[in-house]
Amino acid sequence: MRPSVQEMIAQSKGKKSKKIIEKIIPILLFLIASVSVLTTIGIVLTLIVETFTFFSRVSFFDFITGTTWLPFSNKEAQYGILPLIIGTLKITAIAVSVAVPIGIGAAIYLSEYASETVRRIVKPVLEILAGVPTIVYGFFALTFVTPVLQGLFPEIKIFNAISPGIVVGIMIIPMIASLSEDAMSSVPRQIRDGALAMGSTKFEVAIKVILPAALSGIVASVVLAVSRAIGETMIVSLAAGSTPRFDGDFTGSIQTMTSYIVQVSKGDAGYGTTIYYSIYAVGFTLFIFTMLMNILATYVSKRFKEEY
Amino acid sequence: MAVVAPTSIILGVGSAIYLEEYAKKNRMTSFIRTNISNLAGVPSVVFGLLGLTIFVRALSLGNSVLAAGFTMSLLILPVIIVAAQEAIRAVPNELRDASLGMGATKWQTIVRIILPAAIPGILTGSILALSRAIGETAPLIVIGVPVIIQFLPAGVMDTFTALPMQIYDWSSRPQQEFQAVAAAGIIVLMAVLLTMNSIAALIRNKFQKRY
Repeated sequence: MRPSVQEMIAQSKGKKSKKIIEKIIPILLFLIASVSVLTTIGIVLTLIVETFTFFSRVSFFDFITGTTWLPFSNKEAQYGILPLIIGTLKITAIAVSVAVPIGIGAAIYLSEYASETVRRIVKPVLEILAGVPTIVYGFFALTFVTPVLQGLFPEIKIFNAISPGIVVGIMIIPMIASLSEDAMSSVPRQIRDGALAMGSTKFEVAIKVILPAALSGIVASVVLAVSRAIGETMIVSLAAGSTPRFDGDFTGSIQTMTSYIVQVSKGDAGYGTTIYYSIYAVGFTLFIFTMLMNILATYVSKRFKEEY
Repeated sequence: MAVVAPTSIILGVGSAIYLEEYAKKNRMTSFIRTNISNLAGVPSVVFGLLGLTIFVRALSLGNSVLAAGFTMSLLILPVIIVAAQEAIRAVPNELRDASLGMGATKWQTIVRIILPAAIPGILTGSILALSRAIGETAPLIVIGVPVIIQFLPAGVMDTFTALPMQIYDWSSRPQQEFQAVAAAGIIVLMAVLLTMNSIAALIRNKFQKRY
């Protein structure tokens, strides 16, 4: 039976609006997808513009080579970023030395030794650990880790680099563990079986075969974790204090790039003052650091990927 | 939250649909992908600086719920996009082809076939991302969210304060009493987070092996 004329008209009308929808939707979705690009552009632009204002007042050379960070001084404010970078590096160094052995150890255990039941329990726990807000870690560092450390080493002050460093390490363990475990699990079974058949022990397989095969993934996970540690804010601003210093002291109060930004935003630095612009300069430095780390991680995991 | 959830989920799922279903394999697409993964690595405090400049000052939203909500949405956007992308990718191609073969248009296929099939994954990812937004403190401090508010915010343009802000303020005070208050605040925060995470885990386990 042929459809009536009215039905055919209705159909073609429906098709027309359908066609328009089919044309509009991809464009609309593309615009939505561009929001993330716009965000990046927004970040870079705001940082660059405000940083330029900052450098019109403070010389760029003093900023990157200065070893004194004294923005709140009444007489002559000094903006040398090195103390803040040193502070950040101290935290990162401690965090990495805590997190890398534990994280990779946990990954080896999970992928090579753990039974299915253990893995089913441990993986969600790792996820929960990764979801704990950093402010909670900060409170933990300030009210638990610091007193414990003070009990062991009395010379440690209430604000120090060690306690937040350790806690930042704890924070990035789940990241290293789960990413490294992914890398190790994706090493093909044949390689594992081959090594076992050659008479090597389980431990030898893990250390001499699996670890090298998964190395690119492991290194990438560590680099990403380092980037997280550099950008970590709340733990350090709660537990590390706010004394920018250019030395190798770990027991006293320090200041990192992130905690400086928090310190200024918390107090009311008036809009338009040099201090206000300085947080953008510091933020920009921070952004460059983490950006380099992320690019490095992508590069490592692509460049040194073992193909099977 | 009322601002963050719709903004970030609409933007996130929209981007994911575009990247998975429409985007051609060209440089623009790979640029967007790289960009998203890089965005995920930007420290939250830097997002705070972005929010301070764009939303608080340039759009003069002040330190309102809206300004903070938008900042948080952008912060968790990459997480939601990646989760939604994975969920959409996990929908088997047979479903897609069958729907197209039945004469459905591409958009009809997406709305009626792919999205319903991918909803559990998208929900799980979104809840996890939102629980991250709840605990995030640094951007709020940078935006200049005040700590002491005596009244409930009346609308999205009002100033407000958030639980993590309170915890930060309490735990940075020297008095012993405030430490106890901070601990209590953390328990509340953790209870909310654990509830959200277990809901996410439940959804995932329930719908995990459908295909």
